[in-house]
Amino acid sequence: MIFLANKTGARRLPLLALVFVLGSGIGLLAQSLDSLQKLEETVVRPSLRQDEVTGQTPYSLKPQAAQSLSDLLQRQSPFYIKSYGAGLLGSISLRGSGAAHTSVFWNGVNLQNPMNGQLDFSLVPGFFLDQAQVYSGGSGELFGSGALGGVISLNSEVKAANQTEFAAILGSFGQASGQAGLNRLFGKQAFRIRAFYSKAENNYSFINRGLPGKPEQTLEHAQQDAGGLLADYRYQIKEKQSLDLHYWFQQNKRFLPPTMLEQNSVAEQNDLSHRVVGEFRHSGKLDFLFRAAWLHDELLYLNPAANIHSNSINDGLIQDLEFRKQIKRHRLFASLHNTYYQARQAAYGETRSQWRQALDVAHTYIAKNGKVRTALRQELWKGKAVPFAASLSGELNLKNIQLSSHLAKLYRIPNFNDLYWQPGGNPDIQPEEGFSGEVGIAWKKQNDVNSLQTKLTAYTSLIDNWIIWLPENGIWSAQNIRQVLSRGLEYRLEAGHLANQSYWKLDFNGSFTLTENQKASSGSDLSVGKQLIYVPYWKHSLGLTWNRGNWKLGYRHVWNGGVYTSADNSSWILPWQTGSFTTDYSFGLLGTDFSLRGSIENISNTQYEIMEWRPMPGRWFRLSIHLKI
Amino acid sequence: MKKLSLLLPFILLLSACFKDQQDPLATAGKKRLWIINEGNFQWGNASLSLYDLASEKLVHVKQFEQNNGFPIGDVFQSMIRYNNQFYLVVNNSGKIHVCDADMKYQRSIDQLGSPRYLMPYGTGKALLSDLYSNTLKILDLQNGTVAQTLSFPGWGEKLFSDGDKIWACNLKSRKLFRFDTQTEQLSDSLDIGYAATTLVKDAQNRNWVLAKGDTAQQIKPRLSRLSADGKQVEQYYELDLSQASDMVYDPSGNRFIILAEDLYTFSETQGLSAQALVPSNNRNLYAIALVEEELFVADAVDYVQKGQVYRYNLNGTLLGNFGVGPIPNGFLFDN
Repeated sequence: MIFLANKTGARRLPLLALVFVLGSGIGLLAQSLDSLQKLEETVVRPSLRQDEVTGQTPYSLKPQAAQSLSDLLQRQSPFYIKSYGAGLLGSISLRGSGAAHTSVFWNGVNLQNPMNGQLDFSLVPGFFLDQAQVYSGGSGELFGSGALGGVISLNSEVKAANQTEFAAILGSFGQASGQAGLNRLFGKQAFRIRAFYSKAENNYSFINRGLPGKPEQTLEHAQQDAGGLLADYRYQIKEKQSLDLHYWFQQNKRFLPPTMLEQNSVAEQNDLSHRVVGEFRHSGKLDFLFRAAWLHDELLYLNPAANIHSNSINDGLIQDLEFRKQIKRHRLFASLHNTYYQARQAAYGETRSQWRQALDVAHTYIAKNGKVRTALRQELWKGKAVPFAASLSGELNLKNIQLSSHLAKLYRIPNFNDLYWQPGGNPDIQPEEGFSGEVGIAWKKQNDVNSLQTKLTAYTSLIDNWIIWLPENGIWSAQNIRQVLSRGLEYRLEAGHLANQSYWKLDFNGSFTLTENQKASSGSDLSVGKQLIYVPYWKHSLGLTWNRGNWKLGYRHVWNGGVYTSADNSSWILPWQTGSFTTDYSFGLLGTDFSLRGSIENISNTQYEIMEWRPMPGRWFRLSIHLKI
Repeated sequence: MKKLSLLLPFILLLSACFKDQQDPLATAGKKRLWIINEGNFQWGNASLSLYDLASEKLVHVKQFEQNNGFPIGDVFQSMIRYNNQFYLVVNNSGKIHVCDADMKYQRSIDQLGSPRYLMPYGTGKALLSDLYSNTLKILDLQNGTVAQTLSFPGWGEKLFSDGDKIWACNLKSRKLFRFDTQTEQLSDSLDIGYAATTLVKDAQNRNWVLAKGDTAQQIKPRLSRLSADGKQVEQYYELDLSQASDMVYDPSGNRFIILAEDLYTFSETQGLSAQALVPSNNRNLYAIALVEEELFVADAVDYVQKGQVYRYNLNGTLLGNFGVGPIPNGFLFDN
């Protein structure tokens, strides 16, 4: 049962309403551990679709107000983030997949840009996130086209108590940010609004290994500023009926710095987005959810030196209908989706549009110690059926051990650029399709003072008709060329210890990924059997936090494996590692909760590049103050 | 690697296995073939490979980096030898590296916008084409400055020296432009079809110009023969090919070998060959050179891995191949 607040204005929700359990052992234990520290105040409710996930355990990220989603994923997850530099384009490679192979949902709506299939993670501010979860592994039967590598689910929600909050953040390289939030309850209604403005010079120094003598230089033409507003509204119509509205506006202006091998840059990129989601939900004998959304994105790329003025505008109208019915041990789920995309770009020649409809159905048998789920999805694209998606998954709970498995058939519809960009867009290009499978084992143990949980997942996937751009008849064009085989391991461990009023927490996660092309484009192609470019074999993240009274100290270390930069694996970027330290001090004064935070990033001042020739910042600092009234 | 993949300790060990690339260094022979590997835009993976014609061996994939300790830059477009020095034009780095005859770096000429091709003339000057600036620049090679800028709307590309003039190709035009090295002005232009890409001389010292055509606009490639004084097109041939990108002249057969995905031959007596002399077989053939009766054909493969150079005799028989840097776009024979 989930509700906002009773008529007497209770400021805390029942614990039951706070616990969002996806059926995994690690998820349950994570909740227990967190509850040792602090009760969350925000009510995050999964969509019915999210509830259906079986056999795949999400990675829950802890959103930080001062960090983008790109930063969060880089630090807290075992997944590789391709970043072009501080605040610049960031995308994910989940299980060796490409940037367009991870669907990103915000309050149940897919934010992937229909034109290029991606979302720039550096444009998602942590301040606007109340929940961020990563479901690694293909799950197209639930989340549709594009979820070949996995799904990221983001949610924003109203709070269960009246609150006003302010934050000011200052950091190295001219970073400055102001944030403000207001949450108000009015009987059955709750309203929350958040806004931020941030700017950064990003004028950090680096060793330019691309020039004679390897001189130290300062990054130029890297200024950024951004502003955004997020509004969440909930009307609890009845105990089991609610209406939610969300609106997210954001504008970013970024100067794009030169690489180490360019002398200068005058390029810039301006992004603007409006996102509106409305959701009606009814819980009862038949759970029912209707969602409608409007998405609007603009991307303006300017490069006067190359006479480029490229404006990409797209709109999406989305309607989802989800049903769920439980009959004894059988749970039935069905959903209908209708999506309309429209895109304008001079290179398309004319305004392009697309309708997509999909139906998915699922059955879950819930046993005493586990469940088995089967699902099927069929999508219509351009009026024709695309390769269907399906899955079979299960979970088995044995005392402290949980076993899980997931087998899925997947697909991805080509994006607008693949289809319509002139020259090179290929209207005959086919959807990518393939299979993925995984098995996992989780173990947990805890008592009053100690907790330990761990999980190991092994996976494989084979994607055919992988789209790449290659010349054909003298024109670069989108083609279904590659077949990509991925397999690997993901592992995580969390340990907690409570002693002498101190709480210690250790978390470690990592991934090992082998992702190889299986098809040669010609006799000269030496990429067969080689690791895909910009997919590291491994990535690890280790965090240690200590919490006592008003103090919290934390250290995190990230190891990132080297990546190949050529498809035949003849060139590469070396592995790199960075450490960061944070300290928090919280106190109350005059009815106001204050929180001071300081952090040192890249403590060892490591010179590294994630994308070759694009320097990342060395050691830097950040200070912030948060007020909650 | 695959067998080790499931063993976590070895995963960690992998980090130590990434070491700087090491290729054997050999001494360059007298007859050298330089391979210009442009690399990807903003990837910084351009390189200069060196092939020793005498021993028929690749000396080094990254000869410039090997000699000088730093990479060439971003998008290595072209190079030329002049007065016992090499001039390497690095497009997206906006510079020209000047090296001695042993390819040792001496200096750079910077802030050149988007340079493509350089053609020296006179005493210490050079004409420089540019991708975006709608200009041709006259460089003073001694002090590395731009002495003069000439209006040149379009996409300035290859330059060919021809006595007291330089022919300038423009990939956004139907014209081949003539630069007079005496007056240092663009003096005339000729309609040679769409997008002049290459100019070669035949056995009778006549100039032939290949225009690429444009697949999107359904414009066929054209081969034009210029008059001796260079003031008119004497004859031209529409070629029933997809977009053509490069051409060499084979004096032994008095024919042209044209790269248009595959390699075809053309002669005035026999016209365009019906069969490809060298079929591409799904390769991305990107440049050709004819050196001592051997055809060197560059293959950019999928543009994101090292390229290949194939050697053929003039009958189209494969003699061998060797790997070079990413996206080989041209050759320079140096003897």
